[in-house]
Amino acid sequence: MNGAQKGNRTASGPLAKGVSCAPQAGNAAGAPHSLLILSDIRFFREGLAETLARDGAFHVVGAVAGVDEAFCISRASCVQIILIDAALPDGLVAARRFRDLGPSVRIVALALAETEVDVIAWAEAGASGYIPRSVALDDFVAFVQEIIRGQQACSRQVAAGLLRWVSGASGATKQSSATAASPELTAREEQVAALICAGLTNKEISRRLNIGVATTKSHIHNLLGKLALQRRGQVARWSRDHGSYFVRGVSPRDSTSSPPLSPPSSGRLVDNAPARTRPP
Amino acid sequence: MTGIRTVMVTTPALLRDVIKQLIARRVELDVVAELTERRALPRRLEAIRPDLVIIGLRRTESVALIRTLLLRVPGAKIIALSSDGRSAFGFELCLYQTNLGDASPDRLSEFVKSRAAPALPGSSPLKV
Repeated sequence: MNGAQKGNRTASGPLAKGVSCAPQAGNAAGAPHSLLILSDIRFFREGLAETLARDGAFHVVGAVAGVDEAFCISRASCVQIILIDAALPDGLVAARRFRDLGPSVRIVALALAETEVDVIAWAEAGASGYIPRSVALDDFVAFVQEIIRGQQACSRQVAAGLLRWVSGASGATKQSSATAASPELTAREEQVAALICAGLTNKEISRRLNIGVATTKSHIHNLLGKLALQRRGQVARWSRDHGSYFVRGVSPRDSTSSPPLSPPSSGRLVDNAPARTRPP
Repeated sequence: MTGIRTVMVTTPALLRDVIKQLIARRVELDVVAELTERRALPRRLEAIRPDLVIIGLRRTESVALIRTLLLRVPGAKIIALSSDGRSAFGFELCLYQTNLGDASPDRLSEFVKSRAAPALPGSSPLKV
């Protein structure tokens, strides 16, 4: 470690508590983008805040654990980028809430397990991009800056999965006029349904979504009720009948299209780094 | 290299780098290895003999793994992050001394029956 690293601790105080001042919103004159970190993992949010504050490319207006607090800061500080930890419970719900702040706010999924299902779920929730958990911290700033420029580095598997999803969504759109209105499922129920369609057991779904088996069963019970189905085995059939409503070409069990399931996305601290390509 | 010889074990790159930098800004670390192979871990640690091990536990792993590692590198401290990253525990082997006075039978038998006292507030003996 060099001397500069040892000497500089400017970020840890105010950022650890939540908010520092927010001087500006615009970036025309090269001012740093204002950025907010939302994660309930303390060392992660505070460590990232320190790193980004030291880098100078971003003005970190806060590093907080609660969605409500983050929302207040976002509205008060004209935040431009919100990094939401993908492991945050109800992170997708939070993303949808922040999306309502307007198009000037970019939502970025942080430390995402780079699977097709997760990437698509976050994209649908309004994320402008994502930072995989396999990214080295040295590349972090560049990654966020790429997202600000409208670019996204992703794995080949994810790129292919997105193409399949767009293709499936297109087909679903054509069919949708002939089908009933969409059921009002929560984001989590949609995730569970997609994983059921992919053939995962309740236990595997629990592991995948980092929730208990009982919670998984509860989600399944609720979504079966909303879809007016009797058994979980009918979910895939329902999805197929509605233009691959949940699946859209994504199959987490298909080893040719997705990284392996275990130990991966379930374990928050298990490395899982597929090959990566960057857009030209 | 005069820093604390540190081994990082199986954490995703982003989390690994964050925690490494976080500690490195406060304590001088010298990361001597980053290991991913679980099976060979005790043997590798024994060979490296680090001062500090930072390990991200998998969901199925328990303190039994930490015990195994500490027995291989008894001089090391281990920071174990829970599988969801929301908590951490520190482990180390300590030598306890209890004053038995004039070695009366009661004190001796009491000592035999008792457990070692915790070294630090917040620390506790473990059954593994």
